[in-house]
Amino acid sequence: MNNKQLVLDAIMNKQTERAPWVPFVGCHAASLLENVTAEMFFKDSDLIVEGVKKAVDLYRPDGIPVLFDLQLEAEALGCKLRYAKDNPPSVVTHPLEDGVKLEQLKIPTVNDGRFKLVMESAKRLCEELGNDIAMYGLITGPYTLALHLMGTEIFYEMIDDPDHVMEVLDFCKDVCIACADMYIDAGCDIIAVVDPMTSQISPDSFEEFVLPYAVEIFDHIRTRNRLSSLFVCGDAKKNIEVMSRCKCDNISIDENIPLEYVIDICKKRGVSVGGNIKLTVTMLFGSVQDNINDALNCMSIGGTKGYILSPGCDMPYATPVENVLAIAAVAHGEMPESIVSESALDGIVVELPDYKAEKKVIIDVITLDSASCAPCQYMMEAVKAACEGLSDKVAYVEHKIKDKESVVFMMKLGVSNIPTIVIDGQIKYISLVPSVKELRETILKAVELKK
Amino acid sequence: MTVQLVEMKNPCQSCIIVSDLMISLFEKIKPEYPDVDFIITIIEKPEEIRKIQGLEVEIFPAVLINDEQITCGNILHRRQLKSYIDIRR
Repeated sequence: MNNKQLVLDAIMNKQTERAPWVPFVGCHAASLLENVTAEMFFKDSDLIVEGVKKAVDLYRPDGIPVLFDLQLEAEALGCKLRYAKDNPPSVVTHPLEDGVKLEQLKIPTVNDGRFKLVMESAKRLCEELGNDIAMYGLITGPYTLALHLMGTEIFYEMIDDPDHVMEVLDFCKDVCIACADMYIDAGCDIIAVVDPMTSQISPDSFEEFVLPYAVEIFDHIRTRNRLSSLFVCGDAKKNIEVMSRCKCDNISIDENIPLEYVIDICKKRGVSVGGNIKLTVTMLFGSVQDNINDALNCMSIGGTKGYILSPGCDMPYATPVENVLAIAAVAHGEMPESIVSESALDGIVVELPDYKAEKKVIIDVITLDSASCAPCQYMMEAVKAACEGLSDKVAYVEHKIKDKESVVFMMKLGVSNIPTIVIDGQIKYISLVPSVKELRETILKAVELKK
Repeated sequence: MTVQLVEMKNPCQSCIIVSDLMISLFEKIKPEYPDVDFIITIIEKPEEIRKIQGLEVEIFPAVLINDEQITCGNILHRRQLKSYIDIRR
């Protein structure tokens, strides 16, 4: 199965051989190019193409967005932007708050704002990468766009003048559909409606002010034979149920909402899920091991049916490359290079036991650390339970690859994934935690062989 | 009196939008409060939150008035922020 199909299948809630990996490389792509600021990146079609291709070479994604810029539509509609060296642009004016009438706003076309250069990038990227990986076209959701246009007045107007807010949202919905069409025409496979500001409103308000417009947008995307996703950031736990009724194929969340909760709600409506890797604490500021740990936890909860491994939102410009590489390695079932590099392990000597000569069956469990990594914990618990009453015949050892000795041990055993169970030097269970019954039977067979 | 917005140096776009809205709001109400200092503090690492008196939660952007945290991660409306300032003046 190719990488693109993996993403499409996961979005359609089908079983996949592994969770597909979709890094939301926004302005971080600029940091991968020499002497390129975020501002230069967002304004130059060649740099967008170059940056995204560089990210694809490095991070080996199964899918990737063309661009992550929630200010693109706002700029084309007259919002003034302030560009930055190492951040996406900011909206500094809100036309409808500043006296512009809704009737004066026009649905943007490819000739407005930066749409031409973005769509050129989209077309080139889809042509060059689109056969192998799933290309995402990201559009600003109707509520977030309305907030850009109205400023904070929107909150009180939802109470004082809801009809006016609905007129604005209806206009924003038409903008979303027009932008979705541009990305679809450029060749994108998936349209993601990014509406982070909906986390600021209640489920009732979502139902009244977002749901009807979102349904129309997702229906339209479906008529164009494309898959869709709804991205939300912030604590939107309260809104997940109503979000799952938007008729989108997938919902992507950040770390503010427990992944298991979202899966539970979305599964009932056949909506797949993505996201949840911690963007700031892990990806921006965490260590390589924090990133491995977080990715493993997400994959453990998300499983391989209807889950896409991805960050909670767009990756910050300064996200350390080694952290993203670590997640990419975990997603592909490998150990990150920074952990197994020869230079880091120079001088560390570890001898494997002489398994045949040992009186007991030896179970080596290779983990990140069962105290902090959920799948590792489940695997260790299964081993402990399966070994109950066998202490005279079986010994088990946890090798935490936080320790360099354990990394050398793991390499000597030929193990490349964590967690893994090795019985008398033979790799038996890779990443998947067996049932206690099955594991005990395997152990008892090994005990028999010793006799 | 000080009204302080605390934000991360490299936030995600969701946080940028919330921060932008708060900064726009500060600019709009500033003329009505000549005796109030409106401050924007940008922190590079989460550890730096210890240096900001009154900051309680690691969710950004946060708004503090006289070192008392009013909100975090949420957008305040003009009327809300003005009420918070007025009752403390």
